[in-house]
Amino acid sequence: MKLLTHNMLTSKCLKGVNVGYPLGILAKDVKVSEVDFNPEFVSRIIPKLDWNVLWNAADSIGHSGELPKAVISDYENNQEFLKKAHHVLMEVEVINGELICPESGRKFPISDGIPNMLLNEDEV
Amino acid sequence: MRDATSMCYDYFCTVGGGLEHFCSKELLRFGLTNVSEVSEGKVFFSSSLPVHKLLSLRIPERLFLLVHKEPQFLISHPMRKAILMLRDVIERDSCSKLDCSLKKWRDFPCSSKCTNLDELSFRVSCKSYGEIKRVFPPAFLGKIIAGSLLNIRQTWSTDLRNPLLEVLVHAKYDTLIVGLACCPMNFPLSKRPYLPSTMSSTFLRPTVCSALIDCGLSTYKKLPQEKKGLEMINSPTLNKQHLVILDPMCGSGMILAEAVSILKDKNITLLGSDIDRLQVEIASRNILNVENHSKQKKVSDELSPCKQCVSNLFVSDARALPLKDNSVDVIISDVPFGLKHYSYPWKKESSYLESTKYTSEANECQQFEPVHCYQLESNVIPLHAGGNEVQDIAPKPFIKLDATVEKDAKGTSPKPESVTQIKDASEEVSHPSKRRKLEDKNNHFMGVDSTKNMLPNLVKELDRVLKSGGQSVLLVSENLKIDLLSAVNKVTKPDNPSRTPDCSSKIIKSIINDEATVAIEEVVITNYDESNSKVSTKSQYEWVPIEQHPVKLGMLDAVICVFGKQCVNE
Repeated sequence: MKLLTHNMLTSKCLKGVNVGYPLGILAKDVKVSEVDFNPEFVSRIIPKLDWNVLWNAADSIGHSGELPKAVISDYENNQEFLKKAHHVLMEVEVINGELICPESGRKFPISDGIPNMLLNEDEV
Repeated sequence: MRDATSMCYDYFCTVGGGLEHFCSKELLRFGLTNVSEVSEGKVFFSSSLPVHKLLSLRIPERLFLLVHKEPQFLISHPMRKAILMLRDVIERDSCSKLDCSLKKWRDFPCSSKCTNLDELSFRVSCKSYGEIKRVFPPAFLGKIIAGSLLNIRQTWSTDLRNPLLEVLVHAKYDTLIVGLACCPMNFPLSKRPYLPSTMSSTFLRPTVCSALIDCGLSTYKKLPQEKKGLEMINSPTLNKQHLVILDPMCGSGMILAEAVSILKDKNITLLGSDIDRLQVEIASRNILNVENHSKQKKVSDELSPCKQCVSNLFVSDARALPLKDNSVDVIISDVPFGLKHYSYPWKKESSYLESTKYTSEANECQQFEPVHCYQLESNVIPLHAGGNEVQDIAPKPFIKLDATVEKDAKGTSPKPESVTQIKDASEEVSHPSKRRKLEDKNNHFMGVDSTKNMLPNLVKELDRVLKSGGQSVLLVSENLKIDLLSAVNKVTKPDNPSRTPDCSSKIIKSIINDEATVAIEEVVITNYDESNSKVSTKSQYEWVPIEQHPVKLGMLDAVICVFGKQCVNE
């Protein structure tokens, strides 16, 4: 699971959970692999992200590195910033671990990079 | 003579049922092309496009150079005369056309093994339909054509197995067509090199996936209207936007894989989810293949292929998606038909339905449906074994993969026994057997029914995650279309429940009267129109049906339904 995916996932579908966002990450295995850098893609996706959530997620798995805590102005033209964002969004991947609902504490397992968000019937 | 028009050649391509319209759209998008005729299963056109462009078409099955096309004469004349006329087609009339087509044919990669046009091995593939078939069975037709070809090209030889040239003859209703194949028999345009060849027929056809994606982008509201469908791939608007596309029931990820290969350099995030972990793993493998494939192809290219979609996959129930509200721009999915993939009903689901009028109506509907489905299914299975345009419900020709393929629940079944924990290996194994038990014929009724019951919850959840102004493209089987439409109607317009019984009762009536599907469709559509004008409460978004395209998946009828989430009180 990439942090890009994490940025979009919620546990809102759980019964009694209102926001369910952001999910906590408990990472057991984290893999960093090289992915082609596409500055255009990164700069277009930044407005769609919750930057705080991204930063905290990266921090919680020890990969915040030099990533600024807030989106800088004029990021579209700042290759260095986009590269850092790209690294965190695309290259860092949680392979095994858990996602934790912030409200109910319900844990969702991540195995082989695929988060399992299935619910029990009584949780829906 | 050597001007642009002289480089224009006549072609036709064969297309999956219902996709002809998409195919001609695709051709026109490429430019330098005139579509001259669209008939059932075929699109005729003339084009000066380069060979590699033609071979990159995504919707057609196969491409042919057109040698001859004329109104049918085979049955309007006495047999003897007809045979003479048929021989004339090859030996005299189209002789020069044949030369010309052969010259062009040499530009196609499939002719690369041919060193000398005088020593060509060929075969004639014939098809005749209906009445013509009785008088001219395909084998007979083939003999005549092959004889004529050997008459004018005495140095040619026949080779049924591995011919260099395949000559296609179709005698259908009112036309006789002769063409030269531009791609080898076992490698049609619709074959995607990145897909495992043995498995592809159990999946949704990539051609259909292309059509679905085309629909998904076609009327996307925030894009300029003049750029429609895949045409807008190259529009600058798309580059300024970032689209999130979701397939909530991705199964083996065919739609996502096709999307990756079409939209690879675009600002698009693909999300895929399925209820079955194994399917998600297959999907992730398939998508990875596509990306690696495009990477190899572009090794020398400075354009970097993106590798960004691989792991935007997760396991979840499409009725309880782990996504934020209004976070998805386009939903493209293949809704389970309830034949091979179906859902385990939620306990809650039945009560949800019982509490609404919709259920009772739906149940009434179901009294008719099972019979229909049963017939459909028993027709389909034997015929499917040989067909290649097979989708979901193919029987099980691939024994090894059987368990995997069967297990695809298409994001619809909460499987109580495997919900919370990561399934361990033994659990994985226990599944197929359980599922297989349910494959009993009788239980297929339950499959269709449970899929129907699942639709309202599915639509409700999709509606939640879909952005206003967004678009939803759902492929459903013909017999579930009404249920989908009434589910959409019911769920996305909660303030207006009075209309649903109306609508459904009319539908039921028309089923009783055994009216054509078209009639049913009209009833539903008119109801939408009436209702639109009636809604006058608070501003709200609802799903408005935009387009419907009936398509054939093997022997199965399906419909591509396109909905737009639009504000009704604008």
